Order: sequence, then structure tokens, then C-alpha cells
Amino acid sequence: MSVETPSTAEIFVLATLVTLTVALAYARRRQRGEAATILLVAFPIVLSVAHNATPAYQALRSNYRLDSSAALVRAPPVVANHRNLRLAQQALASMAPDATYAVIPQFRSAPRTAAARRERTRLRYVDSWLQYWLAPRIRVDPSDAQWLILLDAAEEPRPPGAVDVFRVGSDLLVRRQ
Amino acid sequence: MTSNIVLLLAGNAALIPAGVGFLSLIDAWHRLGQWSRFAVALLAGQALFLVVAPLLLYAGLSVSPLLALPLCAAVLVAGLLAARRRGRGLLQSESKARESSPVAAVIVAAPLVILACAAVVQPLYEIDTMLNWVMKAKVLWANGDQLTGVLDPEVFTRPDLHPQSHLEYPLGMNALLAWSFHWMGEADIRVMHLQLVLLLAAGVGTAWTLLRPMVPDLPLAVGLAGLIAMPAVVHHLLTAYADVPLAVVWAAGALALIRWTGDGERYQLALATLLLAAALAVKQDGIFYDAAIYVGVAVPLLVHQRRRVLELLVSASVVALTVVPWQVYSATHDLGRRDVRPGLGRMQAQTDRVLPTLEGTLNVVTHPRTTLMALPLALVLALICLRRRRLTGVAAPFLISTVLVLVAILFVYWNSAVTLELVLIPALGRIMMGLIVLAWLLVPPLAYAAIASTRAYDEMATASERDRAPGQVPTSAPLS
Repeated sequence: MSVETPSTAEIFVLATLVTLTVALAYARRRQRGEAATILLVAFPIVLSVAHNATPAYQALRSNYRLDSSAALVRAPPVVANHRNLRLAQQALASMAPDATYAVIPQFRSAPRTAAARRERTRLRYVDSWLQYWLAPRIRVDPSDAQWLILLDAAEEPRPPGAVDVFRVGSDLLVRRQ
Repeated sequence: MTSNIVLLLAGNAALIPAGVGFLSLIDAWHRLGQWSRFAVALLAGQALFLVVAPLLLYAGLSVSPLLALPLCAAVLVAGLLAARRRGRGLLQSESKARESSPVAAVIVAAPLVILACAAVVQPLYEIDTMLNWVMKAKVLWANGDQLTGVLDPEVFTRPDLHPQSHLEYPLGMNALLAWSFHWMGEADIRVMHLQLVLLLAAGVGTAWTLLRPMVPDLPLAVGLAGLIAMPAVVHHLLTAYADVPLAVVWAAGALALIRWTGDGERYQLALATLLLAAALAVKQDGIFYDAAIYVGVAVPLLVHQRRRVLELLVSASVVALTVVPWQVYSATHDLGRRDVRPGLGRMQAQTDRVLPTLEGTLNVVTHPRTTLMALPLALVLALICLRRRRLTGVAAPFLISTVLVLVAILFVYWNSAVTLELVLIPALGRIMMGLIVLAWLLVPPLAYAAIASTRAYDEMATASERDRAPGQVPTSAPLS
């Protein structure tokens, strides 16, 4: 039979509770209510600290930890692997704060296959994230937009009215007249 | 980053004079503790901003310092004039509350500083936060000029331009974030989180002021430190959702209202009115939270002191009136988005939502790692207090409002058109945040009342009565 060594967190919980209980026992009669209240309030806090100090929870947290440079530009987890990040940075640098833009595709037709639905969901999140990132630049109908953002655009001829075209990875950023 | 931190702190300090003015107007400033009243003033200033800033926006004006600072100054001057008419100076304090223990102050301040340090380097993760709170704040900050044209309907109120944003949400929180962007001079989305910590800090300071007459300093300080370190609060605060701000202002308002039932001081009712109105300006969940606490307080009053229900009705009416401009704006610009469509047919068709919702609720409130089991603990203590006939004026409204909030959440989930498993159940921890915060804030006083010996409890009650301002007659037995 093996005996598990208590974790630091468990020792912390035990030590805290023992200390508080001893303090309660030695408290003057008039202060016992106060000491017991502290014990009651502290117990869930200590329990929570102990839970959060477990290796499994710490490992979970470390997945979300970022260095300071990544923290500023990190897309939410749903926009996977920093994809479209360079596009956002390029758009932010190129577009004036009062510029208007449109994101293409516009998701007007319903996808029929499961793969198409997944892709549509992914692009919708990218679209939302770009919308947040580029605010206060306003998202408008493509016919009125000064800028077009073409997500996952294959090689194609220059869009009509294009003044500048920037290719950023698989995406296109187009300035129009 | 340092300059942005300093500027954001300055932006909040600029709201304190408005809070001082409001507290002077309602005759509260001189009755509060000499130092803790500054925390109440900060929360009152923030709450005033949450309520008034959307009105400026609907009127076509900006929430820039150029416009808001003169308004803050006007509230301060009005408060000073009212105080002078009552023969009181600005720095005067008539509070006879016991002096604060430095140990207690350190216990509360330490986790706040740690949280603030974590907040200023926090990135944004949640897409809903981006679209519903920060993106709109960025637009409110950058659109128009320093005085007008911020809420341009051609830009702001077109669902086709903001397909995944809830445009029908109230604008209080967005305006407060825009206020911090104005002061920083940029939309610094990391330092921005400090604004939320400052709201929490002001709420904790206000809770300290409101709860001190009911419980000794040390247990109260440990409880407040526990709230600041509570994983659920920390997590949701750092994801920059509006649920923790809503929870903080609502819980502080609920505490003020509960204190009013026992003390009968009008300033407590006025403060509660402001804070509960601010809760409505943060997020529409404030509707059922506010309704629950008003009913929770009204029911015991109906049994024992019916004539005071009229004052409560006036307060509730004022809070309800603050929603009218938002509703009118939303209706005239066709911003309504009905995720919740109540109806018997829908309820019959969606009975399979009831059990998962109840199960999810139970998981949230009994999770030892995230919510410190605040709700079950407070419920048990409240029942013990009712049995021992101690703090019944606190325990009864808490129990009633808890039941009402839980029923409201169940009703909303039952009638919602939104996916239950993917969207609603994971959001339960956030939507219940107000209840969890209030429950945890009430744990120290309820625990003390449930545990303390008769002699110690009576001493606390006597001291509480001594704290009352001269000439003030309690409307019920102290701490009853």
C-alpha cells in the first residue's frame, strides 16, 4: 500500500486551520464569536487557494499565459494560431481612424456541408475579431467601402477600383478609390 | 504603460468630486467614516457617470472630460451649497464609528494591489467582451468630436454594420470604458482593466462602510479580501465582461437598501437608488436583480412597517425612470433583439432546458474552487439567523431576493432562443455573479450574528446604535 505525500496546498490548508482553531481556543470569551467568524470566513478561502494551487490547475493556467508583447496583439483562442494577426496589424497601420471597410466573404449563403459550416464559423469569428480590432473604423457594405479585406483570398485579378493591394499571408487588403 | 495607469487613476479621481457632491446632497457625506467615505464617493461618482453618461450620448453629446468635468464640478458645488445650508463644512465628519484597524486595512488592500498589477497587463480574450463592451467603447471614444456627434445613428445603430454586437445593451459600461480611453488618450486594452479593478475597490470600500456596524473589523476584512481574491470574481473581472461591475454596484446598492430597512436613514435609500440605477445602466440583467432586491426588502416591510413601502416605491420608480431614455432610444432605432421570448408554447416545447439549468446553477454555487461556496454558506447562515432572531432585517431580504433571482434566471433560460449547452450554461457563472457577490459580502455579518454570544452580539448592537447620527431615531430595533 502506498501513502501519498501531502501537497504544499494541503499542508497550507491544514496549517491555516490548525492556527485559526488554536487562536479560537485561546481567544477570550468575548472574542470567541469574532474568532469563530474569522474561521468560518477563512475556511472557503483557504480551500479555494488549495484547489487553485494544484498542479493540474496551474498547468491549465499556464496555457493562457502570454509574454507582454503577445498579450497586446493576441487574438482570442477561437481565432486559432495567430492566423490573420498580421492582416489586422497591416490594416491598423494602413487605414485612417475614420476609414470604412468591408470584410469579404459576407456569409450571405448558407453552407451545405459540415466542413463548410465549420469554415463559415471560423471566418465569422475572424470577421468579429477584425471588427473589434479595427474600431472605430466602420464596417460597411462592400459597395461603399474605402477598404476591402478579403479573407482566404486565392490568387485573383486586381479588384475593380483598387489603388493599392497588400497581400498578407492568405488574405488581401485592398485600398479603393 | 505607467503614464496610462496614472491617467486612468486621474480619470477616476476626477469622478470623486461628483461623488462627494452627491453624498453631500443626500446628507450622507458627513455621516460616513472619515476615510472610508472616499471609497463611497468614488463608487457614487462612478455610478453617477454610469447613469448620466448614456443620457449625454442619447442627447448627441460626448462623454469627454471637456463636457463631463464641468458636470462633476456642478454636482460638487450643489452638494457644498446643500451642506452649507445645513451648517456643515466639507471636511467635517460626525461619524462616531470606531477607528479602523490598520491590520484590517492591510488585509483588504493587499489583494487589491495584486489584482491591479495583474489587471494592467491583461489582454482581451473573449470575443463577446470585444464586441459588446470594448468595441463600442472604442467607437464612443473616437467618434465625433470632443462635444458632439459621438452616437451617430448612421454608424452606431445599424445592426447590419455590427452583426454580432448586442446594440440593445445599455451604454453605461461602454461609456465608462470610453471615459478611461479619453483620459489615457488611446484605447489601451490592457491598462483598461484597471478601471474594473477600481470599480471593485470602490465597491469593497462601500461594503466596508455599510457592513461595519454589523460585524467586527477583522472578520469583515478577511471576508472582503476573500471577495477580491475569489477566483470567479478575478476571472470574470479580468475577462472584462460587465458582469462583475454589475455585481459590484448591485450588491453595494442592495446592502444600502438592506441597511435602510433597519436604520431608516434617507441617505441610505438615496444611495441605494443611485447604485441600483447604475446596475441597470451596466447591463440589462440589472432588471431582474433590481426587482428581486426591491421585492426582497418590501415583503418584510409590508408585514411590519407598511408606511415605509411608499418610500421604497418612490426609489424603485426613480430607478425605473432611468431606463426610459435607453428604452426609447432602443425602440426608436429598432435595436430590439429578442433572445428571450416568453410564452407557454415555448416553455412546453423547451421543458428539457429546466433540469440542465438547475444542474448548472447547482454546479456554480457549490464549486469550492471558484465561488467559495458563498451562496450555500450565506443561505444556511441566514436561516440560522432567522431562527435565532438576529439580523432578520438582513437575512429575510437576502433569502427572498435569492429565490427571486434564481427563479428569474430559470425563467430566462427556459424561454431563451439561444443555444443552451454552448452559450447559456457556460454563462451561468457570470449571470449569477451578483448573487454570489452579495452572498459573500453577507457571510461575515450573518456568521457573526449566528455564532456570537448574546453578550458580544448585544455589545455590537449597542455600538451600532451609538454610531447613528445625533437625533436619528432608528425605525426598528438595532441590528434586528
